[in-house]
Amino acid sequence: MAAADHDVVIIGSGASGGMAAWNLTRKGAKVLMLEAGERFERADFWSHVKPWEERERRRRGERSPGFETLPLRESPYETLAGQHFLLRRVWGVGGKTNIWGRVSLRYGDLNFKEPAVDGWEIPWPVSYNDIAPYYDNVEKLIGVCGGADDSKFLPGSRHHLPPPNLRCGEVLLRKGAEKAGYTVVNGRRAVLTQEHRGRAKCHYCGACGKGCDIGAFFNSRDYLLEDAFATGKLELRENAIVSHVLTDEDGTASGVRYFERLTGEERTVAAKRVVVAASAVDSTRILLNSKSSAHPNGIGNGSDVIGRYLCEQFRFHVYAFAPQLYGRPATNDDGISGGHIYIPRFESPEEKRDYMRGFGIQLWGIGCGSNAQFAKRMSGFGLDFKRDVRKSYPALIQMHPYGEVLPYRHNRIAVDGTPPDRFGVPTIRIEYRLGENERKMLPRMYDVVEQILHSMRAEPLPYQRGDLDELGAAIHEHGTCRMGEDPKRSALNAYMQMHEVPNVFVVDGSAFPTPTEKNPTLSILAFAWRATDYMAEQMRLSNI
Amino acid sequence: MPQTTRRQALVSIAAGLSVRSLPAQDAYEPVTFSPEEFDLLGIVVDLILPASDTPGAREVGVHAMIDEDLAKSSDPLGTLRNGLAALRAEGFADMDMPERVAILTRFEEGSGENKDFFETVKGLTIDAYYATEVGLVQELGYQGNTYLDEFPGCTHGHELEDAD
Repeated sequence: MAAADHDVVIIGSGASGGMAAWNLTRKGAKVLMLEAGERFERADFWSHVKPWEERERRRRGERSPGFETLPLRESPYETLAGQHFLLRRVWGVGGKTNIWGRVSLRYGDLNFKEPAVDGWEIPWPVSYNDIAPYYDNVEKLIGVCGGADDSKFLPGSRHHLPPPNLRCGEVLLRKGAEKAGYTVVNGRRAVLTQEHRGRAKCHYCGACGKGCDIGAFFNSRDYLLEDAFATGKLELRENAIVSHVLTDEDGTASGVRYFERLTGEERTVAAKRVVVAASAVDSTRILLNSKSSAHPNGIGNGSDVIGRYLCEQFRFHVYAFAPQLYGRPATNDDGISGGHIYIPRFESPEEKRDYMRGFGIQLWGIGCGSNAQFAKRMSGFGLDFKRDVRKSYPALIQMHPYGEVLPYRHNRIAVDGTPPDRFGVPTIRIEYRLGENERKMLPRMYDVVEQILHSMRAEPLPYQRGDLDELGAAIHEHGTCRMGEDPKRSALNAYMQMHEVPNVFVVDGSAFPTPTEKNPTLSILAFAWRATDYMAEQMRLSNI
Repeated sequence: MPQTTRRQALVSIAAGLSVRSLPAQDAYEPVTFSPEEFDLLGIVVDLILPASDTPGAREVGVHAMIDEDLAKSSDPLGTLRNGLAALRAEGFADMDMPERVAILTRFEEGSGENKDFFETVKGLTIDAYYATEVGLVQELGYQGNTYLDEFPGCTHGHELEDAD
């Protein structure tokens, strides 16, 4: 292999890869970024295509960007019989940040300390005080709206942009939940409610899930890669599906192998250091496939922890009506799309319970929406039914509890015995099931939801206690390349550097040893920033 | 503004609009269902969401949208075909309205294939109808997906506070 052309190769361009590129290029490193998909063009987003215009457009052969189509076509996944797992990935510049839910919650001291206290499974190697300055930095950089609340369950921030006003259903839900004894806070979302660092503010069209036509919520491409390109130090190669991290005879990383998606050609690039940031599942696929005589179990995997301990959150959805709002004139409830309020976790480890950890409750989909899916759960048909749907439309509220799933050794991503992709590279199998702790937490989650519904006198649509959304649906995969102090039980140190291969850093959600009950992107950005600060320092000292 | 006034205004505005979700109904040729199945489907979707002060599901072409969608994705097609065959066996097309309502009610309250058929066709009807301008704007009053300078939030919060 030729001498390394690049100080660093970064695999993936989403939140973590974008942050690595932004931070390393501004510190002077010459970076090559490999992205499996292509750039999504803002002009193609259907953000301002009305629901009733979509059919006519499709009939004319027009298509909205297929954010999630590529990975399923290029690198499908298997599951075990009876262990369905919904894996949602975006291949393309910016990754999932193009269409993410924008919830931006700091993990608290409680989250970081808990595994050391309850002993499951390994401790975090980082404390809240270590990461808090990076939360500050990230919030200042990307813009996060939220309130002034601060608690041990959800640490406060001095950098929030103003929170959006509440919808009527949210006013009622907050009141009901507070009456029942729960704390309700402003949602914390990476949406610009005022101009921020020269970026336009949100215009409240409610179509964030289709991609933002003005970049008013954080996405890696607009907020990180643009600056990185401006340094002149970043080269981006699209349609580059990475298969392996390559190593020298001594096991040190020497570069990366990838396949040109459009031509099928195999390529290698030499690099002095590799940052793996392909999102938890694809990063794990690459690491496990990177076998050599020095790394027979996959690169940096002498401990056999890579691929194991897959975890995220489990969740369910309850729909109800706030009777105070029946038959009211419909209002524009789009706001910043998604919840403007949130019920943080409220259970301390000290409280006597028969399970560990806990859950928070997200509250999106409240008020007048762009469809009437809720009507499918209402009984009847005909004129009365149609009248009921109209009456209920402004009164819709929804509750979405997210519970922490513990990391279990048997929950894993594997590449053995799986079919190869069209380049001959093994695809993945996901093995995932819930455990006893989740089964014990679930009834309590339903209890709290029912208590709040009762307190606000809401009328729920039919649901079955114990029902769950598909596993994987939270799209917050963690644990499969976890960081920790003990090299026998973790793959990365506290700076996301491989214990066994010091010139490889894995900076995405796979590094988190446990998922917490919270959405991870803000934390992924903070950890990736901290890791690449350390990496740049190690480069300066010529240690790597 | 009282809602009836606003709705009446919307209705009168809409009266001036053509129902342009689909090509004119008499021009639509089903591509998935047989003509007989398609006619039955039209009767069923209109029983689920009939005309009121806004047009019904058949008028806006919900049965045509279902036919069009199932040409691409055949997932619930078998369920629909079986249900439509069951309706035909009952002589559904020749029944009067109360008889048709009775049959659909029996399907809804029953179990097995007929129940599946009812839930499936109801779900597809809801999806299609409330995605049209008639269903979403005229019927429900949807005002979203627009450009706002500020998001006002709940403007009758005080009334809600007083409601207790």
